[in-house]
Amino acid sequence: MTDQRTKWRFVISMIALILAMACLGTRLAFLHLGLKEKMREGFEKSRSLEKNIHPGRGIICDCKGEGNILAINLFVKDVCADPSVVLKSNMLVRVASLLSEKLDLPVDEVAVRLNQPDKRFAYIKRLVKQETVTELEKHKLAGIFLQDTTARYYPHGSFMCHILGFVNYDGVGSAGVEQGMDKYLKGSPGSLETLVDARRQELYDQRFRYIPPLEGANVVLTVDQNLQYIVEKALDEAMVEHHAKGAWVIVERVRTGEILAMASRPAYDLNEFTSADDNVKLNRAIGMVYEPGSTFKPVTISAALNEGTVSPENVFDCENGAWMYKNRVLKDYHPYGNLTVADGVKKSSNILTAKVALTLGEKRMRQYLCAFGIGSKTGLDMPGEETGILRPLSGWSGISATRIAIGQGVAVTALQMVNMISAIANDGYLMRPYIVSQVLRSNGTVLINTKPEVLSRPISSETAAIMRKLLLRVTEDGGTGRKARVEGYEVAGKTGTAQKPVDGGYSSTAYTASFLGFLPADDPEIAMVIVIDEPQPIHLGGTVAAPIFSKIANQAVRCLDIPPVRNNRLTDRKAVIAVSQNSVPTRKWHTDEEGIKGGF
Amino acid sequence: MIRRNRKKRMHGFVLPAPFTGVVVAGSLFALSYIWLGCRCDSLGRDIKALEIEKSQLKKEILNEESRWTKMKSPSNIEMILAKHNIVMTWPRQDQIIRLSEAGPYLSAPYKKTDHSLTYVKREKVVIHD
Repeated sequence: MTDQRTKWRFVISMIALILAMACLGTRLAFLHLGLKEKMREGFEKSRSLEKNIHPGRGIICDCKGEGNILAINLFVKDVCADPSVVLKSNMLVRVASLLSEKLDLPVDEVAVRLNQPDKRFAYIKRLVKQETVTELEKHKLAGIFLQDTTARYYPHGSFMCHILGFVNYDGVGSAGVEQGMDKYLKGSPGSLETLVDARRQELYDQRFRYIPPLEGANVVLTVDQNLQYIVEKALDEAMVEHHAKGAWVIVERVRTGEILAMASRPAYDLNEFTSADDNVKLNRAIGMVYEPGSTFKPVTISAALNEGTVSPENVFDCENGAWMYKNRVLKDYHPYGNLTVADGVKKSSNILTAKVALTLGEKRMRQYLCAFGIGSKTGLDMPGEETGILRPLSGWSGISATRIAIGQGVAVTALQMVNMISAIANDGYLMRPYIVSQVLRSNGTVLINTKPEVLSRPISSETAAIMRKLLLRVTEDGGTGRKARVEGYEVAGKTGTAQKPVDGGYSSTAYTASFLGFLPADDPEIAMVIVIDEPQPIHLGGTVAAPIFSKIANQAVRCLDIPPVRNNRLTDRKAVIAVSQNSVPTRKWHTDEEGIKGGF
Repeated sequence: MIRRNRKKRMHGFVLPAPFTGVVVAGSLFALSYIWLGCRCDSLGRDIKALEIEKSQLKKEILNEESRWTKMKSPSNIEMILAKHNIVMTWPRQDQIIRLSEAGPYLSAPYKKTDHSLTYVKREKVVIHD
């Protein structure tokens, strides 16, 4: 009896179980197969999540590496609103006034954004810092929510603004290194495809596909933050002191072409780049061409010395300050009689330099200008560089050679000028300037490691040595650049005071004062160009720009630890040149049809 | 009539051994599957939590780095020095001791070397025009 009962119980239980399983199976089949395609897709969609993962943008730092960060990505919030919810809650006035107070926005502006009954989304303020939103979150306002986002942040504000550039709201580098190195800095996005739970939280074990984002690489500059600060401070003071329209400076290491500092005024705050106009955003050091005036004379003199058409002790008649050539008068600032070439450089005689240019001839002169990089981009690894203006020989008039020789009728960038003087300081080797030292992934993989690169050799080492001595005399007693001296160091350089071209002539009131030099003169380490645009009331390069050179160089030698005499520096230079000569040049000089011949 | 062995006689309903084996094995398999599934879920949640924590820490690091960079910027240091009336000057050359492989040595006092050229004016005047 008991056995029978047990047997039946078991059979009934099994039947019940099978029935239950069959019902569940039917329901399952119905859910999976019986629904319409659209409904099934809807269910699947609600359970799945597909999203792109944006990579973090790489940082930019100075030559010291990650210790000195200049640009960084910060995680911030966008404050957003669902206007329909805010309006339904009848809290418009309270919400608007609270948001206005916390986000520092005008109340009426916030109210207008919220008062849109048909809209379900509106930005109240973008890129708000975490500290600010923390206070806002405490109020738990209906219809107000936060979205995570990243923002490019420049901790130093306007510092190095023209070098760094900025990133627009779409995350694209739009100026300076941010633009030039954008493809490395931005990284590449990843993607995620996964199932989510009812709260839209990702189910980690249900990931179908996960491609991690490739974080942006970090860019290490050649610029020294401390030196850059010294330069910018000196420029700010100069702008105030000389009531200048603009000012710019470049400091370059002569042996390698590394840009150690580059500053331009006026400047702007990188975190508020939208409020700056294009004129302020212009990096004048590389993007503005000007007539160099007397700072251009070293090109002419070194070309003539290199060709042997003159020697330092040759004497020229300086016509007592006014020389009529092809019915046009060329004047000197001070009248001179006979001057040697060496004294002509020291006194900055226009007439002597023009006569030296004539010994060279137009064709050879232009070839040398091209070899020194005038009229072509230097190849700096940063956007915004101008070519300058050097007309072809066919465009030269009868007096062009005499005017170009003294820096008129030719337009250059400060970068071309500092590169030219660096070539004279560097035994005649013209180096490609560069501002990006390395590009590194966060795991240490080196993507770019810039090496010094020789572009050309316009003059021989003997000519360069003579030129260094001639330019050294400019800062000695009786020279125009006395105020550029640095205690304990010998400075070589050239002053420049150029009238600005206006309406086919030259202005009698607007000048460009400049100083171009390097130090230590016997074994140069750094070269520098100072340009002051329209200084008032004094406009002489020797009075306006030379003291700025002195002020910067005085601190730069200590900052860069350049001793007055260092025996191993010559050995170092030879080593650098040997390395860079083996490197493959990335560009060729555009020259006349005959190209650069031997001797350059 | 031979009497049946009462000892060996089976009482009640007994599940067949193979069936029992299959049920037990199936149950064990199902339990293992559920246990492994639970472990996967749990690990997934842990990993997800760690991922979130990592991302949060990354954010905090970047924010702190940004603050630190700002604090030790030359302009900020200069401002703080000025605030505390501290004046800093660069060392003179004779105050610097340089260390080299050959050992430390004091910078020699600066002597102006006579590199300047003295050019004698010659009578020959170059005329070009």
